[in-house]
Amino acid sequence: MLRIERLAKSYAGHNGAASACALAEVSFSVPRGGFVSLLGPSGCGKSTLLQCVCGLLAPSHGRVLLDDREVTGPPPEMALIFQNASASLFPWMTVAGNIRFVLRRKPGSKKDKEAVAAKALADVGLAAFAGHYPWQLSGGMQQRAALARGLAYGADVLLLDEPFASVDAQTREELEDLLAGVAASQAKTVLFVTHDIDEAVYLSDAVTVLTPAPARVAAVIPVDLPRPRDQVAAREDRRFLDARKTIHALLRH
Amino acid sequence: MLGRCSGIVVFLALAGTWEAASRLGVVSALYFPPVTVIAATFGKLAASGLLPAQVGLTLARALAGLALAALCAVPLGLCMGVSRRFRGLLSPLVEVLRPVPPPAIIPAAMLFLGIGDGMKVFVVFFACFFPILIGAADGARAVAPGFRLTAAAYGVSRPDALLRVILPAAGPSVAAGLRTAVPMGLIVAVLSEMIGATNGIGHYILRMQRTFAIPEMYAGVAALGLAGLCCNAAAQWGLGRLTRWSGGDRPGD
Repeated sequence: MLRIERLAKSYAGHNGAASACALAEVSFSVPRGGFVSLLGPSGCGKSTLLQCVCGLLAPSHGRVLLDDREVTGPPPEMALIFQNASASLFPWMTVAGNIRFVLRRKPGSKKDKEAVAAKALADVGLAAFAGHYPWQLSGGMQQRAALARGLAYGADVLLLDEPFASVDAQTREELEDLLAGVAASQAKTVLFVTHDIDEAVYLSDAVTVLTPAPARVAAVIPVDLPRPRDQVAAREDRRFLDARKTIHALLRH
Repeated sequence: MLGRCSGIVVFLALAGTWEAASRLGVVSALYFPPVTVIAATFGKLAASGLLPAQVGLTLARALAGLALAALCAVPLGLCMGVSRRFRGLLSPLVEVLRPVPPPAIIPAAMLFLGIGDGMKVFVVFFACFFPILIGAADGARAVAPGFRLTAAAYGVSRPDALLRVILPAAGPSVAAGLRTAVPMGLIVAVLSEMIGATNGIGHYILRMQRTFAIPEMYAGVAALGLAGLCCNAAAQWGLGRLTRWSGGDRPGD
């Protein structure tokens, strides 16, 4: 269970500038094994919120609880997957090297880690590209590699920051289904940041809608669609359309 | 191909003009001995092992100074790049010392280090230190924030990240600093040998000039030129291999 309690974040102003408030007060939770999306207008502080959740940024107020323990630094139970894989996968390491790198501090023999890396790559359909460098892969494949790194890290909680924002529509659908599949089969708890309403509804058990900056929670919209979901059928479902409409109205006003 | 051929033609034409001017008495054959004479002298001195030995001494001093400078300047520069506090601490000192032309410290260095190898290594160190420091600091400062965040999110400690993330990410800039430092190191090594030494190619060139062994002097200059060419090529090749991931053959992202 991941609980975000009255989280607020202000950035101190430099050289006499007024301090900027990114997050006013945000509270919500992600149940164990749940898939929750964070949706909000661009610039509302979604990335700030995610960095606070995984302990990269210290909140100004409030706290983040992971299984009732307060998060004060990046916990090994969380893996963060960034928006831009080309700025997050290390280009001087191969795809497999990138995965081994985040496993260095983990216990286990070299051989075990090789196996973990190989399995993660197989899970995202990149088994044949272990020895490739990230820049030799397409944007979609780079994002798969970043996901594989997060999976191999062995974290129960996946935090994703608009991971599919920069790939084409078709690749995006493939990646959405891939993520939904591994999240379900490996019982991951997922917090997924996006600015795309359809994507949020399609993937999530619940969508947390944020207000414009400084962000508060505008509403939490449950998505009561059966899994596994199908890209075409789900998007035609009454429940999908209702959720979509509600969220649209929330973001519009 | 055409360009390369024309380049050789220009080179040969210039050598031919020199040869003719010297043989025909247009210029003093004492100060400008025919190119063929210089070449013959060069061949003789190279075969006897005299030139290789003198050049070797100079290269060893330059390399020792360069290696020491790299060993100190790369870690310091990386720290300056990532830490604002560290930068504030060292910047004033660097800004004062950097514009000092390295030959200007040779007299001072002779006072406390004499005219032995230590003095030359120190002067080369001084000359090479700043370009390497600036390259490392600029490189570390410009590392994409995504790389640093990724390392932090996956629990990589700060010293570990400095060595395994910041250093390789700043690699191309560090390499540029080193490429600048290599010829400077050689220049300063030769100069320090001309001012105070009993051997080395710089000392040899000056001694030949003073004893009117002019073909030998030119042979020394040619040997030095050749050594410089090899050093630059070696630096280019070696550093290019280390930073291959950032090379021109990778597609843009």
